[in-house]
Amino acid sequence: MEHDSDEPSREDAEFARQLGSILRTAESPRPGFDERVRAAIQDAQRSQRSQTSQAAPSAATVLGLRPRVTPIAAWRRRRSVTLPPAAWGALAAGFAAIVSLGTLSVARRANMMPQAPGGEYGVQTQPARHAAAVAVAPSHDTVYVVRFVLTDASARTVSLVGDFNAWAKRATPLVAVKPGVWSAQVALPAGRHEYAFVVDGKHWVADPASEHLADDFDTPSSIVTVGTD
Amino acid sequence: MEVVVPPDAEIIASVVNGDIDAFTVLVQRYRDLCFRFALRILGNRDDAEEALQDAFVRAYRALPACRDRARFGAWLYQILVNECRTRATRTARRDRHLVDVTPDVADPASHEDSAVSEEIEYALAQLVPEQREVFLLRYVEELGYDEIAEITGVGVSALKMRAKRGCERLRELLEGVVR
Repeated sequence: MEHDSDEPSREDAEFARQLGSILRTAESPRPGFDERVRAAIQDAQRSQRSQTSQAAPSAATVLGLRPRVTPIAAWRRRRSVTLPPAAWGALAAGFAAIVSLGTLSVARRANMMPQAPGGEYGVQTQPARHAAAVAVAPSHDTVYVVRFVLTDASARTVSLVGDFNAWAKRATPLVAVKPGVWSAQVALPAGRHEYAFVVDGKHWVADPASEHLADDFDTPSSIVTVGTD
Repeated sequence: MEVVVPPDAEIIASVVNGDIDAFTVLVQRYRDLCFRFALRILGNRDDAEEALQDAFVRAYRALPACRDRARFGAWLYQILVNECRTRATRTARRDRHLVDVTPDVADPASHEDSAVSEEIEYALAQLVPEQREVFLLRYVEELGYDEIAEITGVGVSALKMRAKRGCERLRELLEGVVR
């Protein structure tokens, strides 16, 4: 059978397997790791409770809505509450100071893991997109419903990836609420969250108007902050 | 006596229902495998432990969103890979991708074996992060390309290309060291 030139040659693969077997030694964190993880989880829970117990102004407050304390599991039910179009607009405007609204005139479209400068992926100019992450309504004292919107007339599918869904591109698909306008609502705890959009299952799109982070592969992500000052 | 090992999905159900102790079972189940990956990718024991700890905390907090509970391991790897990428950025800034060879870690069969391991880890540190990541998942953790694609979010053909370049580079660096 002819060798696929895009994967390691038989000799290189055999060499790599040999290296792998040498590196496959047992490694363990230092003693007490399990307890440290448990303590970190408890710290995170305390921190979250502390943050949310502070009376921070929210979109609902701005609109005169009355935030209710409900079980976390109830956020889905509350999500079905419909607001008049004017209220959605006001909510979005109310959060503009917290959450950046962006217009993508030039979007970077690359693979899920774009290369470091000089690598194998290119940058393409795409039709204008509008992207926004808008915290629309706190439905719980610890969970906020955030609406993510991307405008892209050429997209066939759009999904949302972020630290809240383990960057899993199938976890949170956006739906086309009208032609070219994609939207999803996600329940997020108060705090700072990193996110990006994935268009057509492979093109990574961040909101250029938001605060950005880039990993060591030069992959940008956007940041949304909800429920904190 | 039969020892019953509860599947991940069953443990996750307990954790989601508020049993934090059950999460410790998952930590113990995946701790060492994940730590080995983090250690090899970051090249530093402190960073690896921190990355793994943060990955577990993130996993705990996002556990209700874990859809395929039977595949918790792959989901956890996704979180860990992202955590390592973030940390690699910081370590790259500090320009300190040093191989941390701590005497009390491994139990090398001989001094010679230990020296070879050091050479390999040093060579591994010379790879660009994308190549190191795929090399470790493919040849150390022995995952298939489809599984690596799911974990890293990178297409299979791109992964193969990275593996090819990584293997070629390692062979250049280690020719004569490993036979």
